[in-house]
Amino acid sequence: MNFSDEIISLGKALSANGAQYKANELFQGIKNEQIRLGKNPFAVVVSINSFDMDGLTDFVFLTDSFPSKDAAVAYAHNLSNALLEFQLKQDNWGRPWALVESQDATPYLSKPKANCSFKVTYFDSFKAVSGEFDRKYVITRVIETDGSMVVGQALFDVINSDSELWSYFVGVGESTGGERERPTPFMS
Amino acid sequence: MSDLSRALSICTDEVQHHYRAMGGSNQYDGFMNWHIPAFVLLIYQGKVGSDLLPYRAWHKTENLQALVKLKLEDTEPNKETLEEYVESVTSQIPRFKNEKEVSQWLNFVKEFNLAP
Repeated sequence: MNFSDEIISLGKALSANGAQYKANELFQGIKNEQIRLGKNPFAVVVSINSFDMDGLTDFVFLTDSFPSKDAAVAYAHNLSNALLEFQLKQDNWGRPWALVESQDATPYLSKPKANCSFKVTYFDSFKAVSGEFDRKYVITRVIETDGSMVVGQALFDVINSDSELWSYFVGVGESTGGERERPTPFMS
Repeated sequence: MSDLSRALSICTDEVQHHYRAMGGSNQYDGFMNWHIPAFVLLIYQGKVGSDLLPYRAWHKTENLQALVKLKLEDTEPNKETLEEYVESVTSQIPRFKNEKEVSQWLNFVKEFNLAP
């Protein structure tokens, strides 16, 4: 498979020590997402920090991009509500999930890198708990770009979670042939 | 949800965050997951330093102890809520991979006086 120098460079930026593991899937995922999200100035990103018996696992999802802030915010707001509704319907080993106050909803979210040209312009979050050990922190953000492609180093810098982005793009790349489902924040 | 129940949940989150986030870098030799709720319960009853937990659970965790104490100190004592908490933890502990978690937790519960 042939990928542009830019795609390869972005992929290497997300790979620990430039590792080659799943490089083709990674490059394919980045390419697909660059095309899908294009140069719209607003993108909606979901981050999920999930505690379970195995510890803490983080996920990132690039959901969509929009030409206007209003459209992006409306989408993000509705998406956050839909994710909450979805989460509260999940069964956790026979145990329900419950919503708790959101003021402490984001202890695991990475801060954007300094001098990042993309900015967070909207933020919505909730925390769902099940029993004493299972927690989910779901954060939906609108990112305002600087007019460049949504998928690029500036997006990586504002999200600042390289390994989670790596997993997301590999997941997108692996779904290209239809053998795997595309990554979605609606995950049980 | 009562104030005590809410506070127990928040404190469990704080202790879980301390020991299980950041790749478990704050865990000491011999750490077990049941130490998380046990830590909260012992502080609730003013038993900081109890030998029901390893010494290292109390060593250099003064800030965490103070945080848990602060969040619990104004709650109304309620034995039923404590029993529900213990019962809830007991039903989840078997999901941890180490089989010793269950026996050690049950032993802790046996030794621990639930009276608030």
